[in-house]
Amino acid sequence: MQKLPKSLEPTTLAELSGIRLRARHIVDGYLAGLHRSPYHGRSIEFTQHREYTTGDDIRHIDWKVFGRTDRFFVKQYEDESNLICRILLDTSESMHFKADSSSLTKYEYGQCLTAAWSWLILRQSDAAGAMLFDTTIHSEIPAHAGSNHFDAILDLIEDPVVNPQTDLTAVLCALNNKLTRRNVVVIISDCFGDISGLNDQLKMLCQHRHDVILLQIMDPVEVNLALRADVTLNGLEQTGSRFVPVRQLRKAYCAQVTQFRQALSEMSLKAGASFHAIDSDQPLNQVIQEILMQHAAHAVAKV
Amino acid sequence: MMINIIAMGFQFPGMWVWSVAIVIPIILHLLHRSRSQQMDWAAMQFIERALAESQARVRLNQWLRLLTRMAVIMLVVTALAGPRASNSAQNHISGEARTYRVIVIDSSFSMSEMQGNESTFDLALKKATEIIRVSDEGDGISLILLSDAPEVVISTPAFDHDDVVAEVVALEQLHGSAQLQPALERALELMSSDSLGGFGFEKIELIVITDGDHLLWSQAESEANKRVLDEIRERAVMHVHTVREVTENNLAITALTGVNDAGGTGNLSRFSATVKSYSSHPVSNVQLTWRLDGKLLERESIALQTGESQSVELQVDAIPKGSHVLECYINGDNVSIDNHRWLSFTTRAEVKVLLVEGTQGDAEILQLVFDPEFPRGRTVVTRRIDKTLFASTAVFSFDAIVLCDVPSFDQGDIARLSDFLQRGGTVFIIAGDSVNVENYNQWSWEPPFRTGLIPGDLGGPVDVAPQSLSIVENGHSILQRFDDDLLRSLEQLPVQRIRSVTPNSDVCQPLLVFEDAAVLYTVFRAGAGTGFFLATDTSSDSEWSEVVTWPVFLPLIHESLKYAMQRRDQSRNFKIGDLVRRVVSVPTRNARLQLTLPNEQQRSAILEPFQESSHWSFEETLTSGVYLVEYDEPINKQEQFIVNVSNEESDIRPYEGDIAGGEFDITNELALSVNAAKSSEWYRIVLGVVIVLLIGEWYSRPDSHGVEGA
Repeated sequence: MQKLPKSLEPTTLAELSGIRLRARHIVDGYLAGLHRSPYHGRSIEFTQHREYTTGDDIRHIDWKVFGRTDRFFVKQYEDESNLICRILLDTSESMHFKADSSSLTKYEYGQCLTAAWSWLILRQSDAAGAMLFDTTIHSEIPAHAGSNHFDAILDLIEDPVVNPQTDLTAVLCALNNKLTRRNVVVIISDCFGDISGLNDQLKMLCQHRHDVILLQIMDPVEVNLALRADVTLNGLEQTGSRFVPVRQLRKAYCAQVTQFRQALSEMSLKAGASFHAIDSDQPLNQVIQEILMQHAAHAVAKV
Repeated sequence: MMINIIAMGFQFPGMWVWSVAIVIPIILHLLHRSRSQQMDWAAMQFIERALAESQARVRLNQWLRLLTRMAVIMLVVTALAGPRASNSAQNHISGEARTYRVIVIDSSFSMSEMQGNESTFDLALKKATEIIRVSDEGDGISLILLSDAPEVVISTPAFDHDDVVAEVVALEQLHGSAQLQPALERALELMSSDSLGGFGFEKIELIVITDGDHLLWSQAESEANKRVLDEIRERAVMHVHTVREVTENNLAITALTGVNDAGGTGNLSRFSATVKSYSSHPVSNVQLTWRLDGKLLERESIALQTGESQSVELQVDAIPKGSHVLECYINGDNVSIDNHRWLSFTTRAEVKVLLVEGTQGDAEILQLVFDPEFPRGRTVVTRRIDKTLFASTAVFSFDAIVLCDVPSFDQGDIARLSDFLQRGGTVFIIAGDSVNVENYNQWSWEPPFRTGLIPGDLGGPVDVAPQSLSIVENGHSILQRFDDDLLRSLEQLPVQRIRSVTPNSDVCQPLLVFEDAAVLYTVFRAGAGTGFFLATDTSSDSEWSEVVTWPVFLPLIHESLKYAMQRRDQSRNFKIGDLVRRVVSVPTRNARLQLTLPNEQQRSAILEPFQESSHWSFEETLTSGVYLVEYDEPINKQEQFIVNVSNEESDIRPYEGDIAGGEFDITNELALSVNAAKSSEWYRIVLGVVIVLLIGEWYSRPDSHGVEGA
């Protein structure tokens, strides 16, 4: 059996072949020791007490039990698994880009994020589901609770069909029509393409009381145009070829990337969604930690 | 002003060929685009937007980089071409003035001395080329070839230095000696304010490139030359470049002659060559080679002591009738021009003499004098005619015409006789008692080519004192083989009366005169021909003299005839610088002839009519050797003539005194070192600019900031 590395650096994950090994490494090496997710359901019907662990909401501590036993217990309710998390992972051609100096494609990085996120949700008995999209949602696994569902999610994201184009706006529009109950919607994409209609769709999702988390992934070479020599770039997703004088163009290019991410950030903020710009060379644990902390605060603010 | 300052010249303009390398950056630029690395890219939307936004800046940047690379190449090529500031720039920078350089190149044949694989003359041309190349762009240059008669190759200051170099490279070594004074005078003329008035030169240099031999530079010691040098010093700075690096010894063939009369076919002909050593040590095993009409006759080895002159004789049996060229040469020393000598001569089966009698029977005994039927092997064929038949006689088929006391001539007679003389014929004029003085004086000689025959003014008969005859020149060729008895006998010629004559001093060479200076026998030259004038009567019954029966008279006549034949042969033997003038018996106008010079160059000339003949002349006898003449129609024949060196330059010892009184700057390096310094300043500037541009280019490389790459 392959020996598992102890780090969640993309370079380390890249040494493991396939999402299953990577997911196991993520789970065993990191997520198992992580605090509970800030996302969990709230039910009316009390069922039992559970000993308090770090990360539990102190509002749910049963102070009466504390008075009797001098120990902290939190109340658990009948309908605790009413939180549904749907993870949307972009499978378009641009997501399969990887520079020579990078370890993982953007899609592989997104796979790892999907695995980690779904495991966190499933671990606390909430329901997690996954959707793969390009111009439409072409593959889906419904949200279910239970640890067995984790394998089903991994099956879905393991070997996707690659479509040369993306239309995130259309996908979110379809999602808006599809979702009836309140969901946590995690969108993992590079968001390349036309984003002019994205604002409205995000707004609509948020107005429907969904918690929307937009994770925008880019390869670090894409972010900085960190190429050594002038090069002819063949665009993925049928965007043509251009000769690029790297040295002369880098500054303007970086400005465009920054502007794009800024626009996405502002768009998300305005709509009420949260936005994270992620480079595919960032350690996965660091990214997850940041997201969890930011959304813990976000959830508190919402309540 | 700015244009003047940045103008520059180049030491090696040929290097500009490399400027085609300027296309390399363009080609690389295009190749770079077409062969650039291909790569898949997802974020094309940012690329498109960035390109749209910074297209102008990117293009400008690319153009600047391309121009920078092209500039680097051009600067490197500029550096290779050896940039030098123009005069204007030089003036501006260093205060130096425009210079007029008169370059005088010694072309005497001592310059043919070999120094390794090159002659001294080749080295002189190289030195001249170097001087021209390092001259500044605005410097004017004139060129003089120092020879017997200086040749001004470029008189007006030339500013296109490439053209001047082309002229220098085309110069040919001459085979004559060199005269310093005329060359310096021509240089002085070129430097005069009349010649240079419009050019505004502020500095004049006279540069003489020579081997520094003593024959040339000892001429500078003369007062006349000193005066010229003083004048030059007032106007110019003078440099002498001595290009001779080694002093070797020299051998020369100083003479080549026929020893006997070399005229009769079937005779044993003897020739003599004189070989002289100018070496400072004895020389052995000198190979002397003889060739007749190109065929090897004999080769022999001789040894010479220092300064020794040795005659070597050649005997050739039965040379066929016709014109021949005898060639004699030695090999093995460094000055080859004087190692070679040629002789053109003619062998004849017989010498034809026409005797024209003024009074029938007067030349009967004289005929026997000309044709005594001895010595053996030598045949003189005579024909005696009356004067009345002269006009109808084909005189050009004879070698000599003897006019025996012919009373008078008419215009036609004189024209034919003059023509006959000019083309190499021999005329004996015997003026006795029948001569009409007035008629003769009407046809007195008027040099050089006008109608005339009589070489002086004639007067009436004069009685002379017997036994008072004397020989003017004992060593004359005619008398060379006379022993003392014959010479004494000659002074005792029995003459009582003569026709008084005042010889024309330009053409006459009196041989026998009386104490009162009255001339009895004189030789005169007319073109290629020779004349003899005897001022007494030769008829057998004359009271004037009995010379015709006097024993010494026969050898005198025959030696005179031989002398005339030799002179006729010599009309095809010239020295360097001689004017060649030939007469052909066919009267024609505008007929052409082609001359092939010894160096294979070709010249053409046009025949001009001359009385009943035609003539042509050629003065470019600057190379020794055999000249071939090919006449076109209607003459349609070939002939050869010979030009030999004069050997004056054979003594190639260097001049040991101070050249031109030490007033010249004797150097090989002066002009070069000054200009080399000027050049090196530009090299430093160009190199600095290239380095700065290369640093800028390196700094602008995409990976120069250590960015991670794909």
